[in-house]
Amino acid sequence: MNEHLYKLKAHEEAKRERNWNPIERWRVIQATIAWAESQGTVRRNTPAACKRKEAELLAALNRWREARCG
Amino acid sequence: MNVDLILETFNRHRVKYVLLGGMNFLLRHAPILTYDVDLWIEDVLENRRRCETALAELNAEWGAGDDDWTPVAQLPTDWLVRQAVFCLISPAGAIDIFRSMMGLEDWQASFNASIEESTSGGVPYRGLSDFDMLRCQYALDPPFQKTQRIAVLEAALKRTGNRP
Repeated sequence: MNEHLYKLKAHEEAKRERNWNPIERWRVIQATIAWAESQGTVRRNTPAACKRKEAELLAALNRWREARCG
Repeated sequence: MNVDLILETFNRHRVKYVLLGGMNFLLRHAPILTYDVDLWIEDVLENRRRCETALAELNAEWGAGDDDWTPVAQLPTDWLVRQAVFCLISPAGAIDIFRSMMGLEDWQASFNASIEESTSGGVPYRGLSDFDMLRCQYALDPPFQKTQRIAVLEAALKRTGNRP
């Protein structure tokens, strides 16, 4: 049963790709990205998210520098 | 918002469904982007009819093959009975309709265990539980399993004291 579903899903996805106008598909992808970015788990473009990311990158950079200096 | 439109249309037509897959994971856990909305519907005649109506309103398209790709509004009633999985396109996005799921045997049990949530746009939906999402992943062959998703789900379930 599982193998049948695998094959069916793969077949269906390939068929969808062949029948989806590329311009329309790109429009949908962009709209989906915009929608996803508005959801609670995907808040990248906020000051808080930027500061969190900045702190992680600075911490990683400091660890790397300490490792280099021994 | 396009995904909101899909869910809102399904809600308005009283389609009984559970949101699963990448979109469910994105909404509940982590921003791993996905481009299709996966919906597992209750596989009974009336619900399939409601689903067909919702998909027609969304101007969804599907075909058994490349030669008969068409708006679903033009398909005969109960076209959803033809197979277990359908991959459709619509102006609102790619939609996958599942009548059965690998790793999950009982739609009603999964629906009862599903989590009632809302998108940021305020659209309510029922999302597959973390427990069931993990069961779906375990049911896949290893090359197809999403290791990052499994790790996040296992950690979430460990925090709540649940185990698949």
